[in-house]
Amino acid sequence: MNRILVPIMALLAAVGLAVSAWGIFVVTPMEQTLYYSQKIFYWHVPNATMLFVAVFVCGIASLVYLKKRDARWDDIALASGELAVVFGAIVLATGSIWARAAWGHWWVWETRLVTSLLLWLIMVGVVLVRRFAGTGAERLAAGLAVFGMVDVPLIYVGVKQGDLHPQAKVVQTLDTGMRLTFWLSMATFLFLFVALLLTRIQTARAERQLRELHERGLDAGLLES
Amino acid sequence: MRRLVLALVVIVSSATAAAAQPAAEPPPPPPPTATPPAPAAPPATAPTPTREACTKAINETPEWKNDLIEQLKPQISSDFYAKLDKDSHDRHEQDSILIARNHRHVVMAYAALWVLSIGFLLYLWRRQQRLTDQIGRLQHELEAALKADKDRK
Amino acid sequence: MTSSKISITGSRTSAGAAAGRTTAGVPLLRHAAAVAWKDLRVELRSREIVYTTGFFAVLLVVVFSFAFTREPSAVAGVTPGMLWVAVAFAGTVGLGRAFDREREGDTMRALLLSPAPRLAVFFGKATAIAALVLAVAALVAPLLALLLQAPLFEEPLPLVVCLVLGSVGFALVGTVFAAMLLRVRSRDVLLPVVLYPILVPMFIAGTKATAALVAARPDVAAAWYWIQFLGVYDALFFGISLWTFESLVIE
Repeated sequence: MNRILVPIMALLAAVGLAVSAWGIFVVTPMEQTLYYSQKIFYWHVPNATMLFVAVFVCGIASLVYLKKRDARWDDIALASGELAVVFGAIVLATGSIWARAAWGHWWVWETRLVTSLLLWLIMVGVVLVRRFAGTGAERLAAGLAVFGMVDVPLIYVGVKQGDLHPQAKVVQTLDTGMRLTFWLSMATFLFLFVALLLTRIQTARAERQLRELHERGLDAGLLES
Repeated sequence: MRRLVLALVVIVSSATAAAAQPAAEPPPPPPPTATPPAPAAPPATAPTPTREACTKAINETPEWKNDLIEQLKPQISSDFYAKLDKDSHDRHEQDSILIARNHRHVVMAYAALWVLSIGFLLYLWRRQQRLTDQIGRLQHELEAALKADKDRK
Repeated sequence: MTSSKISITGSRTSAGAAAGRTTAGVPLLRHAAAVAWKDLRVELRSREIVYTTGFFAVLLVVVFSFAFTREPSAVAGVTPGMLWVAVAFAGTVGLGRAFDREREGDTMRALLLSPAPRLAVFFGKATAIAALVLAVAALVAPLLALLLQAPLFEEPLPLVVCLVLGSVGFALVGTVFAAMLLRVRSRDVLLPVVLYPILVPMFIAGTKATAALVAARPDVAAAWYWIQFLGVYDALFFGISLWTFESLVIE
């Protein structure tokens, strides 16, 4: 199944990236308050969405792994955890640069930024724990991912309530040109996410099976080290 | 197959759920601390006796009031830009162009995105390489072990 | 006591399993209380953790006083942060130390092998940790009020409720992660790494509540709002811990 799905997703993502880039820089009109720097929005927001999707997938997979102890779910949790770190880094980098362009500061203590930062820190913790905790690392990472996933809404509400300045919600009604490009970018990054996830899961599974084979060889006395 | 479909359903549903969140909106306008300092409030002049007497006199004679207004108008006129010297005018023009077509940050942001993505792809490729090496080594060891076994027999 | 070689007969397994799987409220609470009382009694005898952790918290407060207050006007803004940072750091150190004790005596395995259900062990340990953290907070708060002339005890009831709920939240999440990390290498640095991001909402709520109480005109309504938030946080993580503790802590 993966044999067909991954190339298709990757191809769709590649085409989507090209078309959306063209759409962003050629088709979409200039935005009225933020001017040119608003163009960052078209790829920044889909990445943010994929960060949340990755965290959600990691949390669910971790929960199922804890309940069922099936290593295949741990593969999914591992892959989505790493992807969450990557997408999170992209979101924070592009968001910070956009903040500099639009607001003059590299970092602002605003609800969504803080929520994304803390979410990213939790996922970095998950990845670190997998690498450095030795035996039982999968369980620990799974526990952290579950707790982290549950924690995120609380962080969001807490920071939002604590915001000192009133949040003026700029609900922009995007023009049709903008909306189309935006949803195209969203679809592109969804395909990219799926392609990367499936690939990473495959690699994780292969590594695990290799480790198990190695163990079996050692037990059978066929191998020395 | 079933697991894959389930995974896809989870991904798509969480994507739509996440997209419905405020994350889909552009960020709110900058918080008040980021804007330049608010225009200075008019100096709160203490009501001296002179000031009070003048204000009373002005309000009593409307023609004097209008005359004063007419005199002060040119000093806060709207042809501020027309009266600017060429240097300031040019600088204003350049600044507005810079704000409207701020390529620099857009380029930085997209560059950051590509660098991080390609970094991740390189990481994936390196892991795959290590995996292939491990498989090669395992094969080699197995063959050696089987040969030693056969020789013993 | 060589706990790793407990002689277990076959019959224990079935009886113990039956007792361990009891879901009736009473035996569970009794087991939990027994575990908690065991911990507290050990602690009361040596008072090791309370003294060392308490002193650590006091030192923190003194260091922060040098670091952050240069004029008296800085007091109101800094006090809530100082209080909760001291509680967090000292609590983490105490938590690590409490579980170190378990590992050194190899008593964790004995606890898990006993007929007491795992959940009871969890509740018992969490209660003991909460008591420890509350003791540290009870030490730090008056000290802050004294050193910085901060009006911390103007509204004592909200402050006490806030500290109690914060300690409970810290204990719940901290116990789960410390138990998970029991046999993991580099656990000393990993405990804060995994614990603090999860505890962030608790810190936000705690500092906001304390700040509302310390302000020139105490905003008690806001404080109670944040205390409610703490309550929600505690309830939520209580539920999650209940659900996942069995699968998370194997030995």
